[in-house]
Amino acid sequence: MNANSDESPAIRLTARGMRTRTRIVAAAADLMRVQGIGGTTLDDVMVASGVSKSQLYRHFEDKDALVRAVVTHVGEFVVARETNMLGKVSTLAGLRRWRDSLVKANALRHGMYGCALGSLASEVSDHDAVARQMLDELFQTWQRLIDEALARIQRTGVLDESIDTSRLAVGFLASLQGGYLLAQTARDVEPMAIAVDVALAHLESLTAPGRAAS
Amino acid sequence: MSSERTGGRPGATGGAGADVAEQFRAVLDAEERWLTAASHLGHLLGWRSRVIREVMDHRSPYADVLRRGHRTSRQNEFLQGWQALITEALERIAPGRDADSGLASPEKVAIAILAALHGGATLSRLADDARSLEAALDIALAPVFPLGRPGDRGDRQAG
Repeated sequence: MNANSDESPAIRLTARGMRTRTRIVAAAADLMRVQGIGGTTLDDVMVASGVSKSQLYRHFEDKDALVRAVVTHVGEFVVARETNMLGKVSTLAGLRRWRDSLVKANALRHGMYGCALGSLASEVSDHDAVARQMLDELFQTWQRLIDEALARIQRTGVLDESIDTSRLAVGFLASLQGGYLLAQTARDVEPMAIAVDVALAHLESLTAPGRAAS
Repeated sequence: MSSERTGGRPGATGGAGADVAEQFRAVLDAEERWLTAASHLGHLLGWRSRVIREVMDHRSPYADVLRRGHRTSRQNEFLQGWQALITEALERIAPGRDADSGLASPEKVAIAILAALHGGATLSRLADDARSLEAALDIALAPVFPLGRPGDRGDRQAG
């Protein structure tokens, strides 16, 4: 990913300028999570971040640039969280704990806000190819983390060598994302739990007899 | 998506200005027609291939209703209607799965299929590649196909 893809025309930021920029992006991310991209105006962001119009436009030339910065901000958070949670998973029990953690976190607010990254992905406008590519790369990173966890499980002998873990990983991630959306719509985390559980049950059906508990 | 495939109903061509309710209706009408006629596993694989084609067609109402974060009671009703249609088809095509597999009751498989459709559509749209949607659907459909991974068969059938 181009690290500068969310930047306005190059400006050299002071420490204070960097703090202002960070404040704008954090406020925009919060607003977009609750109100959606379409429901968040630049005026909303100015009020929420306490910056003036000139300050906002010094950092972001338009809303697309701000959305890209939010994608980067949210993506960094999600990738760090998933790296932390999936990085050492090498058993099915570890994968279930990952599932439990995500479901429990989403249950805290009855699934209302869904996945921050997934919400951006479902709302980012068709004309913004840059944002779409950024999101695609972030999801590929997430998928790779799941794939690496599945590959570690496979190396223990629980899963047959012939199983394509990368295909399973993308299916897992898609089921998870869809589960978030169903939970959001129903205001109930149960559909998300079911979607991931069906995926986990499929994985367990692929294990050698007597190894699913590993 | 062509209006022919959705039965030529209003909203079936799904333009940007098309009313959301009409798009929900167009998808539910098409799904009702397909799923109520499904009576064996082959029909389910045919349904899988058709839905993937629809979702990947940017002009299709399927693409629109699955990518929008409507978060409204209307979307909730739409999803419940679709889930009921899938559940009824699964009960007819693969009865008794609940007793066999515990988790994989028709209701739960239907929820997993809807989740796969939504999540798969999101990832596939970003990548402009149907493989995420295919993989997600295959995992969701796996409890219905006890003799192997449906993706293998579905992919062959899809060509």
